[in-house]
Amino acid sequence: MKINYDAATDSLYIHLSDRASVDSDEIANGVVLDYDAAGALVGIDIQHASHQADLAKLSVNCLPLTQLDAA
Amino acid sequence: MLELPITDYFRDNVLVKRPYIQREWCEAAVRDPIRREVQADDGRIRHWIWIDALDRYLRVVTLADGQTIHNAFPDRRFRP
Repeated sequence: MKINYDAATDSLYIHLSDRASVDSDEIANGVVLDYDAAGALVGIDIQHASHQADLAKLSVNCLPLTQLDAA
Repeated sequence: MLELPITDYFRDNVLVKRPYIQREWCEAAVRDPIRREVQADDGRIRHWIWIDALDRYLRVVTLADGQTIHNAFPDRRFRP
């Protein structure tokens, strides 16, 4: 999973997997879900992210991580 | 014709995650949309175009300059 934040446009993309999307659905203003060919959710596109999420804190609990990269 | 500018977010996330979206569709939407609306909350501009290959309308969002492409996705709910 990869979380990308673009401060210039206050946009957040959460890549749930590396699989590409083949379809999308805006479920709320500025929030678009991306689905792969099997209909599985593969990403979440959030606009004006700082108004929709607390970007200052990230808590990770009990994930079976083997790699953690921060930039 | 010169390509329209794009945001880093569009290049690094939108085009990566939605590789089926063709840059020329987005350019066509911005240059000749069937509808254009300014988002009240941020001044960004929505443009719609019909894409036969998707059998859907594509929404393309530019920054407030009306040129810089920032987002694009098939819009299931758009009615012209």
